[in-house]
Order: sequence, then structure tokens, then C-alpha cells
Amino acid sequence: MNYTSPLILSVFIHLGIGLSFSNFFNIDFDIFNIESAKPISAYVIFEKETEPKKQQIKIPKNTKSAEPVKNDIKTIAISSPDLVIDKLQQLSSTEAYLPKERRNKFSQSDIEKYSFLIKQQVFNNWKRPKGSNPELKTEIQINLVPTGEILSAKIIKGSGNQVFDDSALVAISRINNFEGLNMQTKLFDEHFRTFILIFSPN
Amino acid sequence: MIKKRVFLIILSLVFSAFLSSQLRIEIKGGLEDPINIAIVPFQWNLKTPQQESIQRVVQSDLESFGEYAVLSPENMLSLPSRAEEVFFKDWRILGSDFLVIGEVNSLEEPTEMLVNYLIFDVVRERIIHRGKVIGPIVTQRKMAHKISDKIYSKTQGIPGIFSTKIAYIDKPSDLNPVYNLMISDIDGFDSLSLFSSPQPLMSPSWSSDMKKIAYVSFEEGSSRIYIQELATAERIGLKQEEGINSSPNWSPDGKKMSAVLSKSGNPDIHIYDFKQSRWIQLTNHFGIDTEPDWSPDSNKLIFTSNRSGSPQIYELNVKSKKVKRLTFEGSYNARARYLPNGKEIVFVHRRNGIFHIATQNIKTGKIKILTDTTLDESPTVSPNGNVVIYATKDGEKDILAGVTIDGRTKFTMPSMKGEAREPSWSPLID
Repeated sequence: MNYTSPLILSVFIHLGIGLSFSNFFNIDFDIFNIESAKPISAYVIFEKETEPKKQQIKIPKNTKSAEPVKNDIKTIAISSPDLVIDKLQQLSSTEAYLPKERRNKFSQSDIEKYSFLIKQQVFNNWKRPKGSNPELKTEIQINLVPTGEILSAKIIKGSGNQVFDDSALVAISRINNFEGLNMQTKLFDEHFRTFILIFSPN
Repeated sequence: MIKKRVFLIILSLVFSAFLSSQLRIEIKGGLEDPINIAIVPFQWNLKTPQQESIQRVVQSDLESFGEYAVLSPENMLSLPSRAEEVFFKDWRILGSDFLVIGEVNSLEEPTEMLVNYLIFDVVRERIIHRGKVIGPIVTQRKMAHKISDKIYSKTQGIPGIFSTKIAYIDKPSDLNPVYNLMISDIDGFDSLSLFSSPQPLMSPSWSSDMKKIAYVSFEEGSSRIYIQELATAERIGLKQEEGINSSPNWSPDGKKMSAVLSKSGNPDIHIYDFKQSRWIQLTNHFGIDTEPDWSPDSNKLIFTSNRSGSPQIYELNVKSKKVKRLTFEGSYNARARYLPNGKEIVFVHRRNGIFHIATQNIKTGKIKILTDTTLDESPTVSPNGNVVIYATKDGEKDILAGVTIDGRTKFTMPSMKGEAREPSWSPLID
């Protein structure tokens, strides 16, 4: 009897079941990912250099930091208030700023938060042309690097209206670099390295 | 070993497609800010001096409905007329979304000229249109309107309307003691009288090929519908019936004409059979049925009727003759016109004793009031569906005014002299 073909089929099915439960078992597929062959992004190297110091930053009274300080990092002696803000912003833009246990975890609300930031920036840069009838819809795939810079934007589903599609691409070119996307690597890789923007009037 | 890994990678890719769907972020709406555009004065390479700046005509066209903010030439950092002279950075600094440059050249025929122009997308640094317009030097305004139309369609996604015309009736005044059937550009320039009469003229309506105009004249003492050819000024009177002959309206397919006749005793909607030169009655009701307008597909008519006691808008299916009431809000809704999408109508709506121009979605019945002056009437819609022109009063004087379909921009047509009534917007012809 020939067992080869049912065996291969069964291997496939089992592998499939195993893979689909991978989320429960916390199997990280990143090691199989082609992406892992790529050079490590610069910001990760930076992370190693500035291991979280158990210090607290003293903010001079006359400055207001835009970024909330959540960590219990202690004093860094910086005299100029501007430098403090710079340093704060630098810190907050790296993962080192986050407590270790939070680095690999993110919640749905994090996805919503960053989606909202992206949405806001796109909205503020998109001038909708007059002839946009409400049924038009353009889907554009965006590829980002972790700094928020847009690597590429590709129309995957056009609206059929060239001027409408172009207006969406113009908005993306205008942004060039999404601001405020300081997030964990895992969150970025899983959701924001590649995502889809959908443009529709009303 | 390597084989295994490749196999695993492929498998993980296949399954990851099933497992994780990509993040989708939807952006609805977008800004309705005016488009920032820079139009560089076109390089004039003709021996004959320039009478009118093309750039200025294009600028006033684009600014007329509040949809564009045009950069004035004094604020430009450079005045390029060829593609290689354009530095996008300069225009980005000035905040321009689009840039238009061009030059006017002579042709072998000394009375004609050639305009070459380019439209740039400044943000993405590319040419989105290379245009060429040829025409007699004396028709510079017309050529400029053509360029405006192209800029509009390339930046807004719908056709521009700057080359279309408005027909209207000029009522007798101290200046001019007769009725005149006028046509003019939509900016009020190049106006021309097609016909004048000491007796009233009414209800001009364009044919779909823009070559003829139908209107009502009382020159024989009673009303009769005439069709006049624009090029030859030749007039044909349609078969006159006893009583009222009014409100001629050409179907968009150019084959039919609707009108109001009262030969059966009270005003009803009829259509004209051009082959047999006779009228066919469509509605038969003891109420008044008047002011018909064709749907864009030429299958339906909307009209005003007082059959329910107050004037309301009804829709008539021409084939089945079925009538459906469209307006229910308020005690006065009249003089309706379809928008080119066929899904909305614009009409005169009375609310709190004031006559407004309003639009209504046919399906949802949702009314949106566009104007808030008191005596607005006779709305006519631009062929791209974006602007409504209507008759109103400026003190004692009859004037034409306009409003964009979103109600955001209002304007009057100041350069129209005399007393203008009953505007009718021409169709769009390439």
C-alpha cells in the first residue's frame, strides 16, 4: 500500500493546525521571516547603548515637556532646558525608555492610538477634490521604516477616478514621515511596517 | 537543512496570509480647503501686443467659486515659461499644490495664435498635463476659459464649466425698452442678444448640442414656443395650441421636448413629436402641472403641480405615465431641476415666508437650503453639477446670482447689464 501521499497530506494538515495555534503558544515566527536576514535597524543598536538607568530626570521649572515622563530614571545633569527636552524626546523615541516588561507587549488600544495618529496626519494633508462622489474609494498600501518614514505607497485598489487617486498620493507625499510613531518593535513589525490606508469622501 | 528552512518559510508565509489580516486605516472626508495654485503669466511671443492677460482670465475663472486660492504673480520667486525653468522647491515654499506655466506663440496664419501650457503637481514633482490651444487672437478669452476648464478637470476630477454659456431674458428697462433673449459667458462677458421683442419673452432652454435655443414669445399676441438656431438665427414656431404654450425644455438626449399646454382646459405636461409636428399629452389632472424638467437619462420628468392643494414637485415616468410626489416639506416647492447625477433636485423652497434655493435627495427626501435671500427663483444647474445660478433681486433690480452646490460660496454676476431673468445653463460641449 502506498502511504506516501496521505502521509504528506496529514503532515500538511497538522502543520497547518499547529501554525494556526501558534498565537496561543507564543511561537515567534520572526526567526523564519525573511526580514530577519536584513540588517538590524539603527534604533535597536541605540537601545543597547543606553540601558535604562535608574535615574530620574529633573526638569527645570520653566520648561514644559511635551512628552510625559513615565519612567523612574534618575537625574541626568543637563544644564540647558532645551537640552533636557531634546534628551527627553530622544529617550522617549527609543525603546529603552519603556520598562522591560512592556517592551514586547502591546494592547489593542496601542494599535488604535497609533492608527489615530496616522489618520490625523493623513486627514490634515489630504485635500479632497470637488468631483469626489461619495462612492469613491482608494486603498493604498504603505510601507514604513520604524522612524515613521514612508518607504513606499502603492495603490492596491484604485477608485477609478485618477484625480481622486492622485489626491491621496499627494497627501502621502506631503507627509513623507509620520510623526509620533514611537512604538515597540513587535507592535511596529506586526501592524505598522505595512498597512493599508483607505481614502473615501464622507 | 536549507531545504527544510525554505519549506518552513514558505509555509509560514502561506499561513500568515490566513492568520493575520493587514491593518486598515480609513480616512473619510478630507479637507475642503481651496486648492493652492500658481499660474505664471504666460510668455507672450507674438508681435501684436497683448490685450488681455490669459493668466488673469484663468485666475478670475478659478477664483469665481471659491475653490482655488491663486498665487499672485508679485509673490512668485521666479516666472518660468518652460518645464526646465521650474524649480519645485520654490513653489513648495510658497505653498502651491499645483503650478501652471505656458507660452503664446505665433502661427503661419497671422491672425491666429498657439498657447502651449503645462500643469504641474508640485508635491509629487511631475507634469500632470501638457496642453495646447489654437485659435484666432481675438478669441483670447475663450482660449483662456478652455485652459481653465482643463486645469479644473485635472485638479478636481470633474469637467470645468468656464466655456459654457448662460441664456437669460433681459427685461425692458430705461436703458433698453424691449425684451431681449441674451446669451453670455458665465463670467458675464461676451454677451449677445439673439432676439428682441417689445412683447414678453420667457423660458429659454438649450438643446443638448448647444446649437439651438427654445423659448416662449408673445410677439403674436399670445404665447408660442419658438426654436432658434444660434449660428443662422433661423426661427421655427412650434404648433401653437389654444391657451398657454409655455416652459419648453429639451431632453438631454436631444430627441424630445417637453412643454406646458392648456388646450385641454388647464395646464398639463406635453411632449412634442418632432416627426409629426404635434403635441402628445402626458399628464391629465384638474390641477396645474407646469415647469417640467428632464432627468439626465431622458426617461423621467419632474414638474410642479398644485394637485395636492399647494405647489409641490412630482416625478413622472414618461413611459408608464406613473406620477410620484417628491416633496413633502413646506407648503411651497416649485421650479425643480435635476442635478446631473439624477439623484438630487434643486428647486425653490419656501420656509417661514422666505423663498430659498434648496436641494433635495430624491431617495432620502433630505432637504438642504443653499441660499438665504428672500426672492430667489428659477434655479439652473451647471452641467458639472457643482454650481446653481438663479434669479434674485438686488433692491429693485433683477440680477443673477449663484451658489455652489455645497452652499459654501455665493456670488452675483455683476457684469451682466440690464434686468436679467430666467437663467438657463448651457450643456457641456467639448
